[in-house]
Amino acid sequence: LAHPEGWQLVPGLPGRAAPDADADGLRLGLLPETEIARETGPLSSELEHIVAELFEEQLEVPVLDRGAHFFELGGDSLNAVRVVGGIARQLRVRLALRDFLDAPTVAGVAGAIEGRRA
Amino acid sequence: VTLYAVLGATGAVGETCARRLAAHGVETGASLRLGGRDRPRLEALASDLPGDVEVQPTDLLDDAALAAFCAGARVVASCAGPSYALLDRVARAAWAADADAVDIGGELGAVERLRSCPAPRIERRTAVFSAGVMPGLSGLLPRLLCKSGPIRRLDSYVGGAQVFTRLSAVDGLLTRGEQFGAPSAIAVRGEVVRGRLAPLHDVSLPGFPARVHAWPYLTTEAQELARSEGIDEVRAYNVFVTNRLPTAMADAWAHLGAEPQLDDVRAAAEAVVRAADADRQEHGQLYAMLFTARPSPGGDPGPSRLVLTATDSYAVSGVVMAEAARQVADGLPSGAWLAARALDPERMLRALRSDPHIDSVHIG
Repeated sequence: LAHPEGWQLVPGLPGRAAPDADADGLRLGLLPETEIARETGPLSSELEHIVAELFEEQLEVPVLDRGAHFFELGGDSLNAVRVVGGIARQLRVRLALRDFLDAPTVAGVAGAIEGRRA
Repeated sequence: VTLYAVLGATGAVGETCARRLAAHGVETGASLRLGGRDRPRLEALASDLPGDVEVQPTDLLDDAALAAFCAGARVVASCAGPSYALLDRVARAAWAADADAVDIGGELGAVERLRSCPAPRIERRTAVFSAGVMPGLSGLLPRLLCKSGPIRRLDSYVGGAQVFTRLSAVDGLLTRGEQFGAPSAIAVRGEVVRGRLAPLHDVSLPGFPARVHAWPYLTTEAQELARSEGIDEVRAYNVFVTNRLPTAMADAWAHLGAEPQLDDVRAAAEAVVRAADADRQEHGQLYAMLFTARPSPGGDPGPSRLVLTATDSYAVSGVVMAEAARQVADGLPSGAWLAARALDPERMLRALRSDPHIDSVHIG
């Protein structure tokens, strides 16, 4: 199977888990039904490495792909708030929780941070 | 004429090694000598190989037979086991015959024994140990991620669902203790820090087709990688498709105690072999090596991930052994070395990429 250089299909990535409505009222189950475009592959920038490690601090599993999905890896809304807090402290970027929830992958969150910086 | 002499040539690793060196011989004019215990099987293999191939049945524990096997060779490639019994035995015989040596096993114990070799040949002969997938490739390939700049953290995930031969199950049960590795440990700035990692259960890892279980085990090879490449933190995991094998190994170790009799180890190995068989029946045979690098802040990001996938890890070891033998024949520094440190990772990568036993290698 030939892929463009630097890209890799990850057949082991699971389908989206069915999330529960969260205690604090964040309805994570209301993510768009259409699968978000999943850009998988190696972490490709310093920013993605930082985001991956912020994910790891909350999830306690290795985050090794830019397509790694925060909620499929076991994250909940409280963890998400903490990641957004970590982004504010470490990168001096104030990300809206909505931005995080819209694209809760490493690449998605890194893209949102860059959007805020621009 | 360059003569490659392959010991254990009809084994799971040796046959692939012999096939690759025979093909190499057709291109370069090198010849091949096949050794092992079973003459009919050696002759059957030889008749299936191209080029100049001879057969010499050899009992490894017979000094005279081993010396005769090594005589005239440029490189003796030993795919034979068990490693715990052979140590540097074949390499010493090769050096005595003024040949270089490559060995599938040996680890640090063999390197240290041979370095203390009273013979003067350490000044001019080369021996490369642990030239298989793990240890071997598992320490060599990550070096490809360390070229572009300093690495803050390196993760290694190696395993899958494989045949556990009785021989390798015994070797597996005997390779524990500080000279081999530390469970749950990580390497931090060259020091082993224990109790830092828990097993990962039911996780998705790039390159592994199913959810897997990853058990942290910081091999001495990973420790050496951390030191030699100056990596701040190294984590290493053995990967399994179910928890059967780690459970069977742990049960066997608990039953065997600190200094087991070899017969007891052989009996305990049966349960390990069965666990591996059950894993393979459930998930199919698969093998993957995944390495990820986190660059130091501000460093050149470079490639951050290497993924190799294959079906048969023993065949991949055979490919590694054959390439190691070629590199030694082309000239490596004299002395006793581990393959992960001594071999050229770029050349190894080219050999892997062009070999049908390796399904894919991605660096990105």
